[in-house]
Amino acid sequence: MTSTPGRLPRRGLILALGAAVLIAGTLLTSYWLRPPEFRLTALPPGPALSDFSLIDYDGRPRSLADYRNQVVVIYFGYVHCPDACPAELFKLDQVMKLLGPASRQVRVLFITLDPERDTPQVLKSYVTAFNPAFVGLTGTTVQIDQVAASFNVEHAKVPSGEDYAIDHSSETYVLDARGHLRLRGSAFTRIDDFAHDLKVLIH
Amino acid sequence: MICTTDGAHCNTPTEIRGARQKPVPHPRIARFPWLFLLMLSTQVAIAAPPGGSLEIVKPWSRATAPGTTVGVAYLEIVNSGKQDTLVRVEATVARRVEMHSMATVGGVMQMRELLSVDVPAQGRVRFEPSGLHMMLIDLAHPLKKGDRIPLILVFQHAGKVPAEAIVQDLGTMTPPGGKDAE
Repeated sequence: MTSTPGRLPRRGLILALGAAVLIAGTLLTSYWLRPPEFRLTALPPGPALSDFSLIDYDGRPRSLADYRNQVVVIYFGYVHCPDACPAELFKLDQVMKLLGPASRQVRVLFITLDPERDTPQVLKSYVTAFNPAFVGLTGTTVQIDQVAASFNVEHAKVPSGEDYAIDHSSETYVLDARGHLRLRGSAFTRIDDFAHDLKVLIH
Repeated sequence: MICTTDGAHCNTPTEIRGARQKPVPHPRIARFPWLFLLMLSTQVAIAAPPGGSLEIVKPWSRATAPGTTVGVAYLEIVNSGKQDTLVRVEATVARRVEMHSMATVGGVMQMRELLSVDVPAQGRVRFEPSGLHMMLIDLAHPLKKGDRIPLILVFQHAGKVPAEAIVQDLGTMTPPGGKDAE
């Protein structure tokens, strides 16, 4: 009988502790399983993108599947673009530098919208000037139209002076390592925000 | 009133000043002739800057990546006089210079050639990244950081106004010395 006053509080203590562990566990799990917070525009989950068939600047056939298991950043542009394209490629190089060794798990693809003028040779000297690991892709006009359409990238040749310019969607797309389109960045996306989101997708 | 200690001569200050003024036009000029000359030279500079009432502020360009034959030039035109129109730009480094507007319509970047750019009276026009820009077409050679590109801006009224764009690093988005052209 002398032990009763001591036993009851002990049972209460065990119950309280158990409840606390349960609550803490639930909170931790929900925190651990929370959806990742992206700073770029997160795109609604969809099916894996239809694969493309292009050639890289060394003339090798390339498809999206070649870059599986890597986070892929895609920008559509053209070499004769004076303002926006060099700015975006330069920014992506800064993002890679900020990522440091983790940048090895990211592949930046520059897909030309001007296959007539951007030969593999032109693409190689241009794209690698920004970062030697960047890949330039080209193809036939039909192939380029197909890949642009799969990303909903609009592009149109417009006469400019004696020559032509290309109106094009200025967004940058990010695919996760399984080839799913996840994020969309713009010319206004900051370098650190880009690096933050790529890190989230790498891990 | 200023009087001598004996009180024999009392003159008003104006009389004394008048007497001293005779040999030189103004006592301040006499005391600081170098300052006078400096002020005079500034007056001359303000009265006749190159290009009349148009000032070209912070002209700059961006290094080009190998493989491309097009470059870009940005600057600000500050007009302290009457309305004028920029009708042409020439650069020895490029076969042709086009003025372009840039707009993003529904996520699509649209670059359009402009045949002239209006410079309002007492106003300013800024050529800058993601906006109005000068496209240098068929470059004689790639542009390297530190290069100086002579430009000639041809205005309807002011005529030819020279400028020299300094080439900044690849990917630079702001003019040398920061965003503000002031």
